[in-house]
Amino acid sequence: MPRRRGRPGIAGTMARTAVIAGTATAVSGGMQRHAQSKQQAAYEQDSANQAAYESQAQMAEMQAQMNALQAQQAAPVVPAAPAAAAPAAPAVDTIAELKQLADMKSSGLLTDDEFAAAKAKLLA
Amino acid sequence: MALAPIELLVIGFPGNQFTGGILPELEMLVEKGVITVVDALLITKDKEGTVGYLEFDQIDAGEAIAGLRRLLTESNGLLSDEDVEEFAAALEPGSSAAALVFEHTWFTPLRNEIVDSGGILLANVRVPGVVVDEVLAAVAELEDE
Repeated sequence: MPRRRGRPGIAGTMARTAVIAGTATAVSGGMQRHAQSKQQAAYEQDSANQAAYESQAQMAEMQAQMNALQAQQAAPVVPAAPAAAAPAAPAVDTIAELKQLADMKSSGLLTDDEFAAAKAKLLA
Repeated sequence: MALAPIELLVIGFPGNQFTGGILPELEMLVEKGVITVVDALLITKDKEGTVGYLEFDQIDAGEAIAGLRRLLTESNGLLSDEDVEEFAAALEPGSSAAALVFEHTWFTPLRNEIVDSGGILLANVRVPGVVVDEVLAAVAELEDE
């Protein structure tokens, strides 16, 4: 029987990952491969970004789905994750987070709009 | 062997009322090899709102819900207590819920065939129902013109 306590679970991990993966991976046609690398990058960023994003995960997912609709693109597999039951968030190095976002933007992983949205959330 | 696509399904039972219809459907899917339940928990919320959970093999055999035990052979641990808290947040006091993580086993032979025949997976996306509805509505509008 697996240990259940004090470790990430499937729904919580999805909720935390949904912020970037959700906004950055509305995919269509030739964007697919690009989007996959985005998703991968997003996942790798996740542990660093976890605390900052946890409480905003559900909102971001809804936003992502709306974005996907507006762009008439198919959204990726992001099942409706219930609100993350956010434990007390540890302190976050906001400057480092901003730099990461800027890096992701300059490397094309985030669009200007996605960067702006992520930045706004970080500073909120 | 890598897992086939994984689906998470949480079924709430308000007032702890279990009806028999869900279990036979799930059992049929498991028996036919369509899905494989890879992790599961029974989440409970008592009248005071206290949340708890049981492993399927801890469910009392006398309980109406005990048939769930037949679905799961081995837990792989994808669910954790933080998941339990998330799912329980949507649960009314005096209710319970079955959290099922299952693998889309039917996909494995297809995936193997894709690989063996040199095919490349270009897209594999679960399309949200709202997207389907919107596109179908647009199609219907064009046909009416």
